[in-house]
Amino acid sequence: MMRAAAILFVVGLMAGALATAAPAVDTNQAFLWNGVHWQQVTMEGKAGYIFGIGNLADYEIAASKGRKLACISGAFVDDLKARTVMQIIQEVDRYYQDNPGKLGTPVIEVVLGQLPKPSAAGAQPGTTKK
Amino acid sequence: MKFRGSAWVSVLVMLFALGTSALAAEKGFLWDGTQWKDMTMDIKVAYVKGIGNMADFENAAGGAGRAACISKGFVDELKTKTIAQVITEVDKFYKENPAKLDLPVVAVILQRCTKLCPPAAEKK
Repeated sequence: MMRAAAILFVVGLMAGALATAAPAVDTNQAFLWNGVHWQQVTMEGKAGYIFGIGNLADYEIAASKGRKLACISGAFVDDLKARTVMQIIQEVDRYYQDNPGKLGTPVIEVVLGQLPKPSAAGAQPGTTKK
Repeated sequence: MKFRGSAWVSVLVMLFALGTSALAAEKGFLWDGTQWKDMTMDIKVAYVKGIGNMADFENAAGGAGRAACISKGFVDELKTKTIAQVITEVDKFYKENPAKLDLPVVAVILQRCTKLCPPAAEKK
């Protein structure tokens, strides 16, 4: 439980940091997908997005083995031991359905944050990077 | 063409729905050229976006000097390329290297980064 809260907190911090840090993606159209984008893509697109996250996490863990550099990837890899890709898609769908006012929350935050606790994560709708 | 890409993803999703095993533990589910060549552009964009968004998060989490190398490599890569360019390059790679279809898409995208951390990053 504490671990989940910690992950949620870190994810929230990352969302806040990304909202203000202006990383490389700003100029390269790789902005964070949020609920608006999520609702516009097909099931195949959603699966592709989740697989992209998972494949990078997998690779990252392999590359940083033993050095504990990839904390987010590690959390996601652990998370996938308990959830399937289909379950993740359904949970993200449900989150945006149940929280129409939070479409600005990044999909990756929803995926990693185990759903409805955005306030604990510290990321408010509209403050995340579009 | 769309059907083929969709079919691939559907099969993969079903496998995960049924399998319930960790993506990380299933090296076989690292997308490679075999899956990539049959994907629609929409799915390729979504896949690269997923990688990019995760890399951004991971990179931000690492902070200055501590970022995980793969994520940092991808973020750096995107400083000079658009999503469309990344997709075009991956397409080109598999087209010109039909014998390397088993090379993970992530590895193709991150050629520069994998030079920084080659041993563990290679597909088993």
